[in-house]
Amino acid sequence: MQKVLAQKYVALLMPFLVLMLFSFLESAFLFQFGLPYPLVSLLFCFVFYFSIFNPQKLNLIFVFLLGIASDFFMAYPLGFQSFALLMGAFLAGFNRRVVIQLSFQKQWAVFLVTLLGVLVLNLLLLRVFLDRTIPFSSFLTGFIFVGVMYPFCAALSAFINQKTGVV
Amino acid sequence: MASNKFFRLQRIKQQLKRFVALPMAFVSLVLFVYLSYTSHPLIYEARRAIYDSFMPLMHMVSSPFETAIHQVSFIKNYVNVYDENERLRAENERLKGWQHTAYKLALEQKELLDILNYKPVFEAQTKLVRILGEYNSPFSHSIVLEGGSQTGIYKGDVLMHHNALFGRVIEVNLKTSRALKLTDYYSRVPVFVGERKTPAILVGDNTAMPLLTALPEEHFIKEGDKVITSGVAGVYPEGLMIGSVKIQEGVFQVSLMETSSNNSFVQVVHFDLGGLIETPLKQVKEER
Repeated sequence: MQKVLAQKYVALLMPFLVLMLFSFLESAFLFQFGLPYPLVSLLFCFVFYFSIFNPQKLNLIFVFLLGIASDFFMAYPLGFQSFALLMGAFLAGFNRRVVIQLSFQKQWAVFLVTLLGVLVLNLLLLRVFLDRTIPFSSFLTGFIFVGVMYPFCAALSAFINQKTGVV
Repeated sequence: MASNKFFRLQRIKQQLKRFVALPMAFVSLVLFVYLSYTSHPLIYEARRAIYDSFMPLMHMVSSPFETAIHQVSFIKNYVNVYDENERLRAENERLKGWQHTAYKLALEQKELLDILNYKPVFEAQTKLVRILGEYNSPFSHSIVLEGGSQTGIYKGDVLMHHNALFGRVIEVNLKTSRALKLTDYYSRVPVFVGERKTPAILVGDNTAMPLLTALPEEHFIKEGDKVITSGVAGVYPEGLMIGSVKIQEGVFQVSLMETSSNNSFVQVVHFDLGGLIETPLKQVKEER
């Protein structure tokens, strides 16, 4: 009984911890080479994937905490990434039943549309609350970077999903 | 009948589950807006602690990538060594000519300063500090230095790279410190433009080329004019080189001499000007 319970906890916590480590490595890589930071972190890909294929493994509290951690690592204002990730989780979860049946290419297209929507929402947020404008190049770089990385992140998410067992 | 009710409740529950993310997103939004406006001291302290503990770790994690890149550039340099040697020979010949001129000018300047009995207004203390990493995010353009209050870095110290202004230290922790680059959204530097010394403010906008603002109504600024610090407000001393003017569609921009910290080290200069930023040295002097 205890073993089963321990396995359940591992299955529940492992994706969160792995993604936390991934977020740290991502920011360490960008930080070390002075590369432009995307407006939304690569965690967005993982959150989108898990929201569609296995929402039990990455519940919304974890998504919120991942966003806060990512904000800390990337020196963004606290709550900014959490908002983006949770909006991503909401949009992905809302269309879950439809998206889950689509081919990978179509899922990727849905991901790009969701990403675009969240990025535009973030830009509006910055404009309205902080009176800040982000250069278009920064917006585009972020969109392309996260968009192109989706297949890699989806493959990694599938691997994590497979290896961490059932919740 | 009872099972019907159960299924209906289950369906409502499932429908509601789809919207759970929204209130949580709202909480994030409130947190973001609240902290952006208040800058809570607890968050500030937490960030400082994270910088101090995580930065060396971040550097350690990414050092294998850095080593790989160094190896690639080493091989590239090895391949180009003949051309590079030729170029350096030519440059050396040219600089030898300049060396004589510079020596003559230095002597002349010393004689003139002796005649005027000139004493420097400020004394500069320079340190060579290692760069741990660089933030090029939409929110800030800053670099993190390996050295804090323990190594004698003060808030307001000036960052120089190849004799050009690069940024200013804005946050000092125990072992690390953070410096704002000239391109940062919140960077403001009073400057002089061109030979006529037209006053202006250099404003960062998170792009590679900051803007020149607060220009007088009538000015004669043209493309290529040099931009130097004006020394107004006493944060920077006068005469530090920044870059040259570039005019694009009527907007005055500055092409910086130093935009990226490609090198691993940067000069941190403490001028102790006693301007807007309170420095520990100034406080000590006032107490005396």
